[in-house]
Amino acid sequence: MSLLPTLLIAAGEGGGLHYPSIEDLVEWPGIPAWEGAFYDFNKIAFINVLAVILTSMLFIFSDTKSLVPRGFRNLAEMAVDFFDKGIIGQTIGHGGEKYLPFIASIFFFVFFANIFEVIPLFHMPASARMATPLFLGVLTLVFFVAVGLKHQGPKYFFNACFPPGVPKPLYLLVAPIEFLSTFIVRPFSLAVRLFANLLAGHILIVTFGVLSITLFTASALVLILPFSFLMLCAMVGFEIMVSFLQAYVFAILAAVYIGGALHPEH
Amino acid sequence: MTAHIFAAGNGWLIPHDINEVWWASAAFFIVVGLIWWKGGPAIKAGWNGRIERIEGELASAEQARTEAEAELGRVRSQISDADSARERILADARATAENLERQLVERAHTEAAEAKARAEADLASARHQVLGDLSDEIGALALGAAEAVVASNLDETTQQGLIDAYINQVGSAR
Repeated sequence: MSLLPTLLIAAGEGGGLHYPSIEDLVEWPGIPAWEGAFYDFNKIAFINVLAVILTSMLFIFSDTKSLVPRGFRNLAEMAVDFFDKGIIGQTIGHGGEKYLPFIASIFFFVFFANIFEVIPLFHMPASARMATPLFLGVLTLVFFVAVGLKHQGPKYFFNACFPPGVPKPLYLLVAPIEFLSTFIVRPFSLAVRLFANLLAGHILIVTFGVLSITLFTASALVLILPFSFLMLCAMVGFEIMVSFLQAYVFAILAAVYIGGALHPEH
Repeated sequence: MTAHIFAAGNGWLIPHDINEVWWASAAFFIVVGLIWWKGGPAIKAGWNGRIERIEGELASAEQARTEAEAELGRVRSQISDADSARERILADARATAENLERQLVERAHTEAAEAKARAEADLASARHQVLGDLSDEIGALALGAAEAVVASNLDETTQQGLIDAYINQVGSAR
């Protein structure tokens, strides 16, 4: 039996399910004093700034003189070790160490931008607005193209669009596909994957939050309140995992693209 | 009764419905509590394990450094001892060589003096011998010459008389 009709019945009894509009889910006004100015600053921008500050803090505060890593430094060293062995070693390989700062920054920025989905008072991931993932996707595109140009020169574009081993007539078909795939679809898919996952998670959390509110107020349905609240808890736990996983996926794909630009033979 | 009151859209930071914040925050603290309760010991063990491992590695490295420094000191001491021994051996050798040189020179001088003395003695002896031989030879020659002179000047009777006189002289000398 669907829950919605039940809730509607409950609404008739004095409760009510008031699901917010999509605008209420993702649109945040700017600081009133600055509204309309070119420096208009809303919650998403604030979360992005916080993500930058947290990412920077992680590395600034880990720069200690002590030989034994503690606190931030222990976390930063564990993370760097993980990026080095788990991402760069597996994707870029030899010569990839110098891209570790970019990969680590991308990972932590995306993670912090995502994790605000579950942080009290915020409850909104910056990645659930397309601007942030799209900027990261374009940034990754610029970065791996720059790596390709640095290591292959202008021939990088030719190598990217004309993969070896393809019969020459097929290049008519393959070259446009490769061009679209490398320079359009890659940043777009990076952005959309992150955006869609985080927006979906945000919608689910709001859904179960609204259900919890509604069931708490709809006295006749108070018995099933724990189930919706349990689902809300489960979704919060799931979103913590998704925040990490999406940051990892973004970082590993960025590393794969950089590796492809660095070693065209692969 | 509805416990939630919708404002017109979201605020700058807080969502339009504050109840969403309470419920989602409650869920967040429960999840974090659960993670802390169930995963906390493992996270803490991993966290502290890394610190302890690095502390252990640093302590081992420090111990290895101390041992290496002690070994370095020992080797330096050995080198210093070897230098001293070398100096001592060299001094001994130098003294021995000087002593030996002195002894050899003295012995050479002695031997040279002895050889010289021997040579002088041999020379004197030879000279004496030569002089004796020469004297004998001269004597013999003189005697031969005298005989020849005498023989050419004496007759047989005179000769016989001289011989007899000589024999008698020799016989009386015995």
